[in-house]
Amino acid sequence: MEVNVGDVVLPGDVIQAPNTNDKGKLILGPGLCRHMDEVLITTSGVLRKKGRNVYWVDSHRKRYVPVKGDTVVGVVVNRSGDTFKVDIGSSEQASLSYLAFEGATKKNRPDVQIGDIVFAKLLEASRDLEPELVCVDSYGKKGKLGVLPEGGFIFTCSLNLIRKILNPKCQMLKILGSEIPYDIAVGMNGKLWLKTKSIKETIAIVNAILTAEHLQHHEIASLCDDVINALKGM
Amino acid sequence: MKESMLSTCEKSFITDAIAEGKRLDGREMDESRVMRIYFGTDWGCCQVSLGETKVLAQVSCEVQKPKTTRPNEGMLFLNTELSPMGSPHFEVGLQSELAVQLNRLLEKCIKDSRCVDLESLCIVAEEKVWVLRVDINVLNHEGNLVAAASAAALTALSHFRCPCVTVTGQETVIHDPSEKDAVPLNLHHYPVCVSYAIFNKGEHIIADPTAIEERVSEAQVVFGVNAYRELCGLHLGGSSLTSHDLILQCANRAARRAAEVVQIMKLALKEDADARAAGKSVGFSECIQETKLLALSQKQLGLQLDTSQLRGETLKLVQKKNKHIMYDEKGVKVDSGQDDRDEDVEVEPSVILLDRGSAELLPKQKRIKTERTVPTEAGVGEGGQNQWMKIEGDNESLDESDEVMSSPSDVEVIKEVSYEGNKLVDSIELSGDSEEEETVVLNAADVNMSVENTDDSGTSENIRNWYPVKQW
Repeated sequence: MEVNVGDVVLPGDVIQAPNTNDKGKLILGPGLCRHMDEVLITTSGVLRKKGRNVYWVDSHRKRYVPVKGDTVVGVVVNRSGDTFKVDIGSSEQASLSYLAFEGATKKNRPDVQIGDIVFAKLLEASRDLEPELVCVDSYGKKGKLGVLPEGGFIFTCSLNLIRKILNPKCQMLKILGSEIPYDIAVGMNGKLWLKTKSIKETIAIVNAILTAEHLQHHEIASLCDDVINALKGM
Repeated sequence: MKESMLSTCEKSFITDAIAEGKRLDGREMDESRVMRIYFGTDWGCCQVSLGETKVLAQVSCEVQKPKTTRPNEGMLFLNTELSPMGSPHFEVGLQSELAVQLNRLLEKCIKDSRCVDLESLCIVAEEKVWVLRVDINVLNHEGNLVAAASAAALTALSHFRCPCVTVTGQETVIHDPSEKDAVPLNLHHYPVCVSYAIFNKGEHIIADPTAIEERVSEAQVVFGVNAYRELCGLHLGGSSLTSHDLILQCANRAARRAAEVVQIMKLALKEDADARAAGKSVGFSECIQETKLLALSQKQLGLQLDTSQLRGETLKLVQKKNKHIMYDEKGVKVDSGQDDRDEDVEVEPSVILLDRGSAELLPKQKRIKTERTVPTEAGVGEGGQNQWMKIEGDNESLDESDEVMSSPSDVEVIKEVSYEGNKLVDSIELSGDSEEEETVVLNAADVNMSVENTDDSGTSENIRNWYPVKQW
């Protein structure tokens, strides 16, 4: 079936012939692929368009498929030889070399324990290879990446929610942060790590974030107010 | 797929939170999640949801030759299936340790307590008996499978109707339900499983643990108790067993909870029987709440915004932001500005794309209105009303559909299995003797140290706020 921008689409649908005659360039985002002269949908969701020629499918899913360059939060589950195995929620565990930390050498190994949480960037993510993580940028600096400090809490949510709270239009993290100081690491794989001063604050923020899943941006603001007021009342 | 490993921070966070008397989903230490029971169109088919844990049970029967050792008794088989649908780490086909344990626990609780009258299943002694089979499928695993599974199995058994049989001389006739009504099974009592998770060497105990709490806990204790406070099964998994007082206290709580569960089951069964008698359509399709985006989900906001003065706060906020509908303390709707709202709705530009009868999102502005009409204690995070609507293709039908969406009475369409806490133990016929040979009856007098549960009136205040944090 042919579909337009804004429609609910299913895998196998074909995008109604976009204007290919102006420069003929088309940028296909997630959920789309080219087959012969047609553009096919590969996931179910809502077809979106930005600018003149950028198309993608907005889908609600929970399973993460690694994408090169994404920053993710993962749990170190195993140490084998000179790599760590990290669970990032994808079908396969990602590997993280112990040399991929700032200032790490063969002699000076980083201090990473099994069960630790790491915030890392995907260096390699292809269908046929195991995803590979690094905790340094191309200059060898760690920036915000690396092993996350002890304590805090890690939880999982849908990928759509991650994109929603990272959207510049969403003020959620800012509003909450204005009243409750917290550290957060948001991974594109749907995992979030959160640390506050007290357990009740952590529980409150975790629940506020999970609740935001089906709210509009301005409803989120009032939800944040509710949560902050509730915390003050405790 | 292997079960993902728990990180150290999750473990320490959960134990610390439990030590502080807090749980991730905002429940009290002794509070169970909401149990709901839905029935299928078939007899003996039901789905029980305990929070997000969902279990489906189906009873079936066939005629077989009885065991030579018990020639005049029918047979009962329980079969638990954990499919990857319930949780990605459940394997297909392979009976995992968890499945075996779950099955054995249910057998202990239901089969070995002889709650089903097997002798009444006999058709011709030594020749033909009914063999009952209960298939239990886990649809979603979010902790405390055993409680949900036992409730599902029992509800399905008491819902089931066995075909009517007439024996004339050598001939046995099994009647079709259309010619002669099928007969329900005889259940002597309802032994339900109640599970608790133990933390910090028995210092903290929580009722109805979720999946993550189960994994972090040091031990789990499962009680099979019926409404007569008779213990039908006890299982302790894990390490910490510190004192017998702890087990006795837990057993008392479990007995109280069992009475609650039996109450819920009976209510659901009665509602279903009424609906069937009235000729209403029944089945799982009737359970889906069409006005809700997450139709069968019942995630709750962990932070209890509806307690104490907070309700006032939120009420003020709601009033300030849209002065449309006020809720009084009990959640009864008080319309204050019906006209304003209608005007607002009309003013909103309704931009709806209509093409080829496709499903389309309604404009955002309107949805918010309707969402805010949901009382805060139930509405937050449930996804509000369903936005997916079939639009016929003409503009006139739009207004109608909008009105349907925004009428607040649509918010709670589904029948809820409600239960009032102040009449649990009283309303259960304690006089009836169950035909149990070995029974352990837990009286409050047996437990000297049980402080506030000596009065068995079981009011809701009594049930709340037990487990003072350091008492164990």
